[in-house]
Parts: sequence; structure tokens; C-alpha cells
Amino acid sequence: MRCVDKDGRIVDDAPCQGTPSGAYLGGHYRWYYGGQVAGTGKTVSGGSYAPQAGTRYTLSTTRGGFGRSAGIHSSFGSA
Amino acid sequence: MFNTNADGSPYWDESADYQFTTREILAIEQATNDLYDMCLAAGQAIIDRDLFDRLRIPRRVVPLITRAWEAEPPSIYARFDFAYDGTRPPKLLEFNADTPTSLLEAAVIQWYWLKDVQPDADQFNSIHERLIAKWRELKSYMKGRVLHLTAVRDSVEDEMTCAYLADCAEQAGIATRFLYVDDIGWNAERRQFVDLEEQPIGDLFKLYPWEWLTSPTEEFSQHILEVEPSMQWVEPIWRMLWSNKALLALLYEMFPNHPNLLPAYTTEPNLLRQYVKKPILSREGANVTIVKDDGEVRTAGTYGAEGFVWQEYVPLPDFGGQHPVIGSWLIDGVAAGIGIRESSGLITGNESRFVPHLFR
Repeated sequence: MRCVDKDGRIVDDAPCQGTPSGAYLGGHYRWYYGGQVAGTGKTVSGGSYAPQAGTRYTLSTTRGGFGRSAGIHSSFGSA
Repeated sequence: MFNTNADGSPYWDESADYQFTTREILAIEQATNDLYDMCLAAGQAIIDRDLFDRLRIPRRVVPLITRAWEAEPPSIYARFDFAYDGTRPPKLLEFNADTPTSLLEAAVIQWYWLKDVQPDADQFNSIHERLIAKWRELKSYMKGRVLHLTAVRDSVEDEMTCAYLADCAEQAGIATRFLYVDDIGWNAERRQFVDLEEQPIGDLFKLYPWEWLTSPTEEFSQHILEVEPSMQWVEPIWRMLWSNKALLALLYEMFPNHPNLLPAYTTEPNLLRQYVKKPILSREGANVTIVKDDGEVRTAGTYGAEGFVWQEYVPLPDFGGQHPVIGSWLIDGVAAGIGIRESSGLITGNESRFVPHLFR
């Protein structure tokens, strides 16, 4: 399942966290279930905004788990 | 391509050039190859004698390092930094074995300068050809079909270095894809790192240091062990043995009379009267203190939590008030060429100028 914006474009999962399935968070983000595998920024297809009964959906990809240290050491440029 | 520092001063500077004799180039080449062999011996000693604590390498990554050292996964490049006046032997200042940069300038830019400006001279520089040859050799060892390259955002130099290495890999017949470090995804269902297209990352060149990747600060550090069987990193994690300035002290301990080494210690200055105190883990001359008879020089920064190394101070050569440091590149463990950065100060920083060289 992927988090998408109001135009069906895939975004990071964070804005959809805590949103019930099928619900529309503030008119901006909601979950999309199934469909073609695609990356951030792409438009979803082949799936649905409503989960299919009996199908297990899992969160897919999280990002931003690398890179934090660079912000701490602001003098980065490599060696 | 950047040629100007943030303050408007030139980075690529061809208002001057360094001219070597063949004897001097051979001295640098020999020092580079000899020191590489010594670093191999030091790496083995760290593992055999369990010296990880001395290098402040966290215990949680020791098994990964040890297995990678034994397995010898793909490894591309590294750079020694020397002080060399053409008379005394080149003296090792530092070893940049994990994320060295100033590569494009050394491999390509100064070569074109030579052909345009000094076509009858030569240059110690086979970096470009050796990089392509090395990628070509590594192609059969890849875990996947695409080489991913990654660097931090907002660093033109790092992105350019990745672009250049990607170009070399492409010339070797390897498909490449770049993404920023914070765009690397963790797919919890497939238990793998993925790119922005959700494609698995099987081979990753990272211009991001291992001490950061493995830090608890990085949420994804917990997955590095999990992907060990299915993913290759360039440079491999065992480079943590070398990208650590405590290595300088170990080298001096193992080879105390070697002409290319300076006395270095991981405790207080010991018998050194003039010395350079550097963080074990740092970059671009940050948090360095030079103590000389005529005073002290310090640079600011956020490094030093892991401790320091004290290295005997050796004055850099002075050419009209400019002080050059020779960066000697190894490609596939062999001396391949040099690049020179100079500054008016005593500490090479991110905005020191790159100056071309030749020899006759």
C-alpha cells in the first residue's frame, strides 16, 4: 500500500500515517492499495483506494533513514 | 562543475603549476605503494590482535568488518596525503580510504590542462584509465544489474564525484543510477534497500562515511547486517580500519623507522614538541590543532568525540606563501597518480585550491 496525494502521485508514507484505510486526510493524502509497483512521484494505477477484503496490505518503503549524521556535522564535504 | 569556492575564491587554479622531476615522481609512487602494503599489514594486525577498541570502532560492526576483510569484496580507490619538499622522503599526513574526493580534478581536469597548456610534458596520472578498467573487472562480481551511487544533498563536489565515477562505470559497461543518501528506501516487506523506483539496491557506491552509516543516529543502520548477503558497498565496510587516523599511530608502532611515516600516538603528545592534534574521525581539516614553537593554530568543527591522534608536525613546503599537500591516488591498490591542493594556511580545508602538475 502506498501513500498518495490528491492527484494519485506516490509520496512518502509519513503523511498517511494514522489515517484509516479509505479515509482522506485533510483532503490531501490517502492510502492506495495494490496496483503496479512504482516509485515516489509516480502516479498509481491498477489498484484501489479501498482495500480488498481478505487481502493483507503492508507498509512498503520508508526513506530518510540515512543522512542524519551529515546534518549534525555541517562541515561535510568528504575528505 | 564547480571551479569557485563559496567565498568566490578560485578552487581550480591554473595560475601556477607544480613541476616535478622523474626522480621525485618515482619517490611519491614508491611511497604510495609501500604504504599501501603497510596498511594491509596494519589492517590484518587490527583483526588478529583485536585492536578495534584502540581505533574506537564500535563492537557491533566488528563481525561485519572481519567478514568483509576476509571476503575481499569490490574496492575501488583511496588517497594518501603527503607532505613532500622534493628532498626529504614524502611524509604521510593522512589516509583517505573511505570517501576521498578531488577525484575529477586529479583524473581528468588536470590532464586536459596538460594537453592544452604543456603538451610536451608528462603527468603522473593514469587514474581515469585505471578506474574504467577496475569497474570493468568488477562488473562480473556485481550482485545486481545496476550500480547505484549515493551522496548527500547540497554538496556539489560530492555529486560531481559520483557523476564522474558513474561515467567511468558506464564506460565499463555498467548501468548506473544516482540517488541522494536520504532517498534510499527500506522496503520492510522485501527486507531490502530500494531506490526511488522501488528497485532493489544490490551494489551501492557511497560517498558517505561508514562511521555515519553505522551510527545509531541513522535509523537504517540496523538493516546493514541484514542485507549483508545480498548487497555490496563500495568502499566496503572494512575500510573503517583505514579511514581512522588512529591508523597513523598503529603504522608508526609497527614500522617505527620507516622513512615515509611521522611519529604518531593516540595518547598525549608523548615526546613530540611540535605536533598536530587531529580527531580520529573527521574531514576537511576540522578540529585540527597545530602546536609549534612559535604558536598554535586551530580550526573549528564538530569532530573529536571518538578521540584524537597526535602526529609530529612537519612543515609543508612554502612556494610563495602557498603550502601544497600531495594527494596520491590508489586505484585497485596501486599508485595511479597525484593531485595537489594548496592553501596559504597550514591546514588543508574544503576550499583549498587544486593546482595542476607536470613532470619532465
